[in-house]
Amino acid sequence: MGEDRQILAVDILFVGGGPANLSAALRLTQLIASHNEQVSAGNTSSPPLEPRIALIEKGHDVGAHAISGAIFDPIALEELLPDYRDRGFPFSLHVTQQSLQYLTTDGNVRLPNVLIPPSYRQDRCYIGSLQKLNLWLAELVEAAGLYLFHETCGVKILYDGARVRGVLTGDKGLDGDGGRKANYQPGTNIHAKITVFGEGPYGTLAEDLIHQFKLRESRNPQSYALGVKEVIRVKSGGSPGLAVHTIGYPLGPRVFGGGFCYGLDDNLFAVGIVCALDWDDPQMDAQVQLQRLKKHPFIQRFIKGGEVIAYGAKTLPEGGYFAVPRPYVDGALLVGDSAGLLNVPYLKGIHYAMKSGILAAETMFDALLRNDCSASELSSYEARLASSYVMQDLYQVRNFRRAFAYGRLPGLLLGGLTMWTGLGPAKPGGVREDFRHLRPLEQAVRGRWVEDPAQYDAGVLVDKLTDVYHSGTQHREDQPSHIRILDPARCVTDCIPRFGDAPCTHFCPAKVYELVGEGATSRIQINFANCVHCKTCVIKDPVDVISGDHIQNIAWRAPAEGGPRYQGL
Amino acid sequence: MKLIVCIKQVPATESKLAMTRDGTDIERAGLTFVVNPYDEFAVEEALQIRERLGSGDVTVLSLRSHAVQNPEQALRTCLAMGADRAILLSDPAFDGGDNYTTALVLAAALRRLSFDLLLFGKQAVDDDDGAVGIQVAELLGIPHVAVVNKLEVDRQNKTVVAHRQIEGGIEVVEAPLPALITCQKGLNEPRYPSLPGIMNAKQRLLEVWNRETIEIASEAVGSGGAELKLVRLEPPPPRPIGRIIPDDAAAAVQELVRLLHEEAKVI
Ligand SMILES: Cc1cc2nc3c(=O)[nH]c(=O)nc-3n(C[C@H](O)[C@H](O)[C@H](O)COP(=O)(O)OP(=O)(O)OC[C@H]3O[C@@H](n4cnc5c(N)ncnc54)[C@H](O)[C@@H]3O)c2cc1C
Ligand code: SF4
Repeated sequence: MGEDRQILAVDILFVGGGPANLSAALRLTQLIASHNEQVSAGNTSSPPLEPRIALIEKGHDVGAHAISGAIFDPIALEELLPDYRDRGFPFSLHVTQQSLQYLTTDGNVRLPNVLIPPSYRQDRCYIGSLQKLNLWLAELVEAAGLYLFHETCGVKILYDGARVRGVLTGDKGLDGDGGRKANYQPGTNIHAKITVFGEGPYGTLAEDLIHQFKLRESRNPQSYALGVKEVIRVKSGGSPGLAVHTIGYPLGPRVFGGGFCYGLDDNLFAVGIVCALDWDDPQMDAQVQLQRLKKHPFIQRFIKGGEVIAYGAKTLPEGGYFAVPRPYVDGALLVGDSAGLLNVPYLKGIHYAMKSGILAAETMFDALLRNDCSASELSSYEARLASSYVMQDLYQVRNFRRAFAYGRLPGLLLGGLTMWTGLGPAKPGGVREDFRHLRPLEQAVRGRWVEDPAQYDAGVLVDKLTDVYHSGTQHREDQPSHIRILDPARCVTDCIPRFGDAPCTHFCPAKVYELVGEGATSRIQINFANCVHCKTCVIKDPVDVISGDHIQNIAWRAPAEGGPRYQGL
Repeated sequence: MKLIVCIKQVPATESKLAMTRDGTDIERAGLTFVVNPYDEFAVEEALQIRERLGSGDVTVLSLRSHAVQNPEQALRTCLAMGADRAILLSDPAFDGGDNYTTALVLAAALRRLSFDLLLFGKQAVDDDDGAVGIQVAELLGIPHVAVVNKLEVDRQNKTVVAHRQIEGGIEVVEAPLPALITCQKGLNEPRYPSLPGIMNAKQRLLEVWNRETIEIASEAVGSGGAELKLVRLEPPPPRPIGRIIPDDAAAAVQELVRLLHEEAKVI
């Protein structure tokens, strides 16, 4: 870009407003405040610190793109704010009835609690919406003097040689062809001593960084799952405190994953399903699977007669211990889901995200004191993670998902065993990227199901477009598309003939990809305005299977404007 | 040139609303609030007029009520866009009012400020009353032009020329200053606040005026002064389930026409 962009210089820049970065920001401001108190009390000879700290979030606010279960383990919060209960903490509901159910086509078997290791029992956990947690943390962080920029998306990493120097934010006010509208607002170069990437799973910039610095070298590629979730309101008969996890139906034997149904206050239920993205079926559709789960008698008993009021979808990093990248480079750190810090069998990432944020803050505080933001100074972050419960827990369950490669039932036993004992291989390996697993339709192990539109009843069972509506997602129809198919011809000449269908039209949980036209004139149409920023398409886009080379045909970049407006997810 | 814009914070248009149990209000917890989109046109227009004339200042004014969540934030958004001054009218006495008492409070505050042009959105998208701006003009005894989608200011002659879209054409209206304009979509493309603008706005103090500042009797405003009482809100009827007409395109169109004619009776 030949133009002069505005430069905004800060000391610390957080990219993404999820629990990881919000906790990091809060911890950093706490450390600085207590340091400065020590300075004014004359207890230390080092100078006071007055860094400028900024956080950018692409959503309308820090809750707008937040979707989680969420069963929240307060362990990291207790460390961050020991008196959190007196500080307006937004959750009050605890898990009171926990169970793990194996669903058959129309029945259920409750798995004995002894199968669940003690550390995974959720009695201490809260049930609530991540949106509320984020908004609350953001309030605390803003009150501590941090600059929070909403609707501001990082679109490019800025470098100074090999050092990360900050990010460029997206240009706003562009038209569909990239031309400038009357209200064109060029993006800003935000310069920082340290940039923290907490963009959640498959961060657009975090992945650029990982690629650029080969941060996953000699580790596993990251594996992901797609989680889709609805909030359902019933007229009466809520079950606040209910936390049911299911395995089995409706997922086919080769899909690793399971469902959940949480009871919230106000006659609300959160129902969702999480499916590992290494499925082989080109017609697998998580949103449809969610409807099938909801039709199951076991789930119906909670939600019958209810109405869907919110919907969202997001990926989760499931590669575990061996897929965690090196989380630091010169001038930058990776936190939370962007670093893959999620515990798969426990289906938990929030408190690991928060703890990684706390550790990142402690690392940055030391770096600021020493005025050294180099990779060698920041490397202590990796050591801190390694000696914390974050990496220790991830190590304990490192072989859980791998055990499921043997199929569901053996996987359950084996997976449970590896979880209890922490045994199993201690080395990375044996993992192929999710996109390599798709198979031609006739070879895929299908879940014996077909989409049946007649089942939708506009109440509790809804089609995909209705769900998209409930996500509140919005992109200006005249903004440039943030999704591109690099070589559209290959969709028709390679992908569809090979798989027997267009997988993107099924795996996208927001009906962004649509096959239009017939035969030789058919093509994939991109309804980018529907997108809920879940990242499934970049992960699952299979075209590289054909070329043998990892050249993705779908290019998804976080857009400068728009996205879901999640409410209570 | 002194420009004043009155703004309101409203739930974002794509919000999904639920009624409170007694059916006289909406649940506000968990909603995202934004500056009313029509008010954004008004703010943008004021900023553009200031820029075109090369001088002037833009003041934004907002009234806190039970219907808005965080009027401070809305005012800061306007400061970040480039407004010079922000005033929040806030007093428990203002609670429970209607569009008339809102206009009374705003008019009382505006009498304390000097202005050449007042800008409002044509309506707030939450209650869609569209009544506050024009009542303020009446209370202040100044001319108003409503639902304007093009505006020219003639500083020499102290007039504004406003264009209004009417059935089948455009109405061009001239009014002497001071005047009040309510703004319609199409007037401009509101700018995005810049990052330095947002940083700057965060550090600015908002002026807060209460009932005493604007010297208005508490009986006259809020629930005591309101002439309208909201009896009941009803959600729109639930959307009936859609129907997919199978078959090839030609046959499906025939069936669609038949259904529209015979069942829906719309053609
Ligand atoms: C369906 C589902 C259920 C789950 N259930 C649970 C549960 O019950 N308990 C639990 O502990 N965990 C659960 N998790 C996992 C948990 O939600 C995540 O681990 C956690 O949210 C990670 O936090 P984070 O801060 O790393 O990232 P995120 O929460 O993903 O936040 C990242 C933020 O960064 C923003 N962003 C991304 N890119 C950019 C950019 N370029 N510029 C600006 N902003 C950007 C995003 O909009 C987003 O707001 C669940 C996840 C899913 C999907
Ligand atoms: S287009 Fe991609 S990121 Fe957007 S909703 Fe579909 S799969 Fe998710």
